[in-house]
Amino acid sequence: MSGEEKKVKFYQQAYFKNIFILLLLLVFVIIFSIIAEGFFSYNNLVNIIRMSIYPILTGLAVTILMAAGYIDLSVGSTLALSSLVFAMLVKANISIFPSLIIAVLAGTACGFINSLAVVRLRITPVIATLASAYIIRGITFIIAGDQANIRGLPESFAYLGRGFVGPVPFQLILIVVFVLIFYFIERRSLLWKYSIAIGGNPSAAILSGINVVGIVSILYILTGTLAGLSGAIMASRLTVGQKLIGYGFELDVIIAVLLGGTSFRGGEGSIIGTVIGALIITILGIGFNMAGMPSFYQYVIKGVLLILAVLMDNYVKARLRKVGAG
Amino acid sequence: MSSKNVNTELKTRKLNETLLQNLVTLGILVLISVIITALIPRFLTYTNINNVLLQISLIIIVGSGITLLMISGNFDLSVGGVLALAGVLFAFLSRAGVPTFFALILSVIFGSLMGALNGTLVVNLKISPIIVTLGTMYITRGLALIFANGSMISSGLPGDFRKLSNTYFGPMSLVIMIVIAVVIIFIFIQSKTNLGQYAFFIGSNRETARLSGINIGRTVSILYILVGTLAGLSGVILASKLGTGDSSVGDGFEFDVIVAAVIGGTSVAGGKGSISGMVLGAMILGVLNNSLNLLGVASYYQLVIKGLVLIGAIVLQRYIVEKFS
Amino acid sequence: MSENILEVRNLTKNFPGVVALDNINLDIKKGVTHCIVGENGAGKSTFIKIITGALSKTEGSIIYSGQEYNPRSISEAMKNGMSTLYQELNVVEQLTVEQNLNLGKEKHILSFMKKSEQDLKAIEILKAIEPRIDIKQLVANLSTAQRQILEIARAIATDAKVIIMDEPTAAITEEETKKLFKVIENLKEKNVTIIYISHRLSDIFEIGDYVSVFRDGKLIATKAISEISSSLELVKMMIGKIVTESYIPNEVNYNKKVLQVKELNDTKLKDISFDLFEGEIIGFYGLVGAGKTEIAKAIYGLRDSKGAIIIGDRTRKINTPEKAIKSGIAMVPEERRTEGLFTELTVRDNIPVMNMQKVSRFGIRSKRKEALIARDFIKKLKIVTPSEEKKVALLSGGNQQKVVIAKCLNAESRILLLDEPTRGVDVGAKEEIHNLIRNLAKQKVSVIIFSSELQEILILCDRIFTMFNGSLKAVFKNGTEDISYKILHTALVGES
Repeated sequence: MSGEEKKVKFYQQAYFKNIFILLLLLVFVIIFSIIAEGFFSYNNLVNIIRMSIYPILTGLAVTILMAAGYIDLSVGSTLALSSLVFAMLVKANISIFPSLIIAVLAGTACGFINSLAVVRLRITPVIATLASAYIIRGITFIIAGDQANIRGLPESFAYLGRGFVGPVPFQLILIVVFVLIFYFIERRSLLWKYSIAIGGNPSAAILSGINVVGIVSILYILTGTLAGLSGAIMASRLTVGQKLIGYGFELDVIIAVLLGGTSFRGGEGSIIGTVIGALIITILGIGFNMAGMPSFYQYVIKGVLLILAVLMDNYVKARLRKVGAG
Repeated sequence: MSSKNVNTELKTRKLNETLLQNLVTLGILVLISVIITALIPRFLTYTNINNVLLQISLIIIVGSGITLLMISGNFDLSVGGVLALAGVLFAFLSRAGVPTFFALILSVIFGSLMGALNGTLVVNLKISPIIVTLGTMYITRGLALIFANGSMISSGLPGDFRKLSNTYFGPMSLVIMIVIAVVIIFIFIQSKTNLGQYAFFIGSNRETARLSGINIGRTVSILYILVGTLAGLSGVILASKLGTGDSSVGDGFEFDVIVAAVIGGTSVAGGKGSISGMVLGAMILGVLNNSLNLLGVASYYQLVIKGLVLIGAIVLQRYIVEKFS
Repeated sequence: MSENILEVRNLTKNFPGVVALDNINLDIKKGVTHCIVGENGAGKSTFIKIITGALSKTEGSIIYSGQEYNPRSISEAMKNGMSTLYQELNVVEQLTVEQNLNLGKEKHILSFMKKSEQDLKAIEILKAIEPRIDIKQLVANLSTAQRQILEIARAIATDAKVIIMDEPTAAITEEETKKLFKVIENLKEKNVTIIYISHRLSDIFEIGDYVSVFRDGKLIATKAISEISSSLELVKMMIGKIVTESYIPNEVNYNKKVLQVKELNDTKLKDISFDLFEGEIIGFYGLVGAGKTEIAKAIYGLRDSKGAIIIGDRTRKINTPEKAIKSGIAMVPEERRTEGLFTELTVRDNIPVMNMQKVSRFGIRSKRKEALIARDFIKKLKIVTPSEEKKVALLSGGNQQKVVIAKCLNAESRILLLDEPTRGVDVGAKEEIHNLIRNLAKQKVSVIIFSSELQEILILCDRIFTMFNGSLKAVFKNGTEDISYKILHTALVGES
């Protein structure tokens, strides 16, 4: 193999991209440790873990979804819905675990709605999930009625989002478990491989007998489910059920996934990359807060980051085309 | 064949398809209005209709540009953010002492610049319109919040800040006149200019457009600039009406505009659409919202209904197209 | 028990205005390599599409393995043991060779793939043809030829009873071809039938047992290869009678060069140079993949090529179609539906697009002028349509092509490029288009025709260039002698 071919292989492997964003993460950590007091403290690190769990969990599913070439703009609304459902059920004296299950299933239902709109009704994913975002948000408001918040929840409610197992935050265990599961999915599962095929060359996928309709449906349902779980965890951490959360959540997730090296057009994805990307997004949010920057400045930064992430991806691809075979 | 014959034949044929579509949309509008008037006679009063018209006036203004953009196969999700930012800038500049008229012009121009930014990112850097305008949506929203310090600029504004929305020529408000002017201009662009025709070409078959020598990049850039300008214009109109530069306005505005366009027959995939249809679509949307308000239905039901209406409109459109080929 | 795997009786396929297949009767024996030859548009691909379930037949019957056979989809045909190796590569670049080979057929437990080597069979076949391909490599890193081999291995590994290969050797080397043929021999020993479509006569004589010749939608003959004396005999069957008498030389102004192409080079083209004179019609002939369309695209600004294009007396930098049109070049593209027409728009919308200045002033259109121009062309080109307001998608193939030509004529260019101008067009319209091209030359428009229909080239062109593998192999002056076989020879074999 010639030297040029070797170079192409190197670029294309996820390792290159992952190392790059890992360095980026470290840079941010260092910057914030300097400019923000208390950033590198134990409490804050626990905070980071707790707040990164939402984009991580949802991002894991969205990674596969985007690798297949699809998108979901409704995860913020799903987050709100499940957080509200979780709180309301517990407030109504239903025990924690069944309430949690139902809240997560609410998310599954949202994913199911999306799969119907995109796959059965064949509406463009952007429009379909934009519409469902509004529908789900509306349903959330309807269920909440006049209440903006649901408070007065028992101690046990907070365990999911704030509990510990010994010295270790429970949320870290959740993150590790899910990341391991999804990493295994990435390496070994047909779901992942077929999603890459669908995103990379849809007609080849169909000709190979892949059930595109089935796979994409599963991906949307999976996304909804994990967004639902994230919502329940968020409600637990804040110890309140809110109908007004989740705005901008889909942006965070998409940025995390794109930063992690998943291509917007499909055909590529990286679970570890998404985790690093989610950490970056979370750290940016927390770091800026601690440095005294009002949260709305972050909108601008995130918007710019989104565009930069795609530019970087395009740039790497363009370089590849010059070096690679054809 | 004499050219007079050509004219009349032309008119009858071309009007058929769009006319048919618009008649259907009009029919739906009339139907809803009739039902509502039967349930709540208060609907058909002057003040109420005026209310509806003012509410949808901004949607119609921006929708005119968005319709053309969607015909060419592109999107702009940032119009809500640009709307807010233009309004905030208008207030900001006015408060800082810039004469109101110039503050107005500058804010509108700022909208054009945002449009140019969108266009550059989509055309020159070849980034997907969804990502670009999702990004600029947040950037503009963030900037609006920054300039308004998290809420709104309502004090220290000159006396003539509200002049734009308070000017009347007889019974007709200046705003309504602007809306009508914009609609007429854009219908003209759509059906009588090369630019409009290029939008149809690009949306209908991009590759053919390329091979036919159409400068796709230039056309799409112009369309984005137009949308940005209209969003800026709407932003200052709204700020003028509210009397403040409010950074929280326009949430969901991009969605309303898309719904209006789609109900009016604009295809999400490009190649099809009409501004007259979008106007009717905006009216249906406005009447729907208004009816729900009058019936005392909580505003959040409107979110659900809007989403369902969008999906329904798209599916219905496709069904009709398939039926007629 | 019949030893035929396929028996085709009275197979006919009609499209609006065109008879693509006319009463085909043919038997294909089991375990042989049955070749199908014919010029483009002869009906080969239509025939294959019907057998593989991509198209439905209009009339006739097919008996496959003794049973009535009427596949309604490609996957149905696949399930029946018919596997196709397509020309357009259906590989997923982002997966490795190994992953592509077993795509859709992985061994798995509850949808998690097993760690053991997946689908050894396809991998073995691949190694037999080209052992140097690293199966752990991403397909994105493979060359086109290597990707084709991957496709071949995949098609072969599907345990099919019939494998259809459409121009399998178009992009692979001789060495790889030899290995492919060895694999084909192995398959025949296992009683697998190969249907082999190709223009490469050398391939056919080496590997084929039988050959069926298609021409103009009809099956001319099916013969055993052993019964055919020479490639010349085969070629005569393919092109039938070439009526060279219909060639009338155009009035060429040899003092005026309208176009000079010098050393055009890119990923596919090698050192293409030629001139074009005023009032001349020249033709480029070659097999599929020889590079004809690439030359057209390069001149029209669609390819990233090096070399000079001189129009009149100035070198032009043409890197977009817009610039090409401004320099006086118009092109009728190969695929009218996806490249030449706005199918959802009307005839009146389509025709003016390359010259909007003619129907507009200061950017404002006159629909009246558009309609007048459209009607003018409808009359001149005899386009069959109830009016200019008809949606182009509803016209027949020949009339659609006329609309594309009208589009280009409206651009009033001095140089016209025509890529497969009469493909999929009925005989009547074909003749009209040919006459039209001749008239253009009379009006001092210079025309370049890129075609794989030898008859067409010989009727119209003053000079004929043959392409082979991206290079210009020979140029012939028309009219002096019977050059048809010489042209075919250089195009099929590559030597002058």
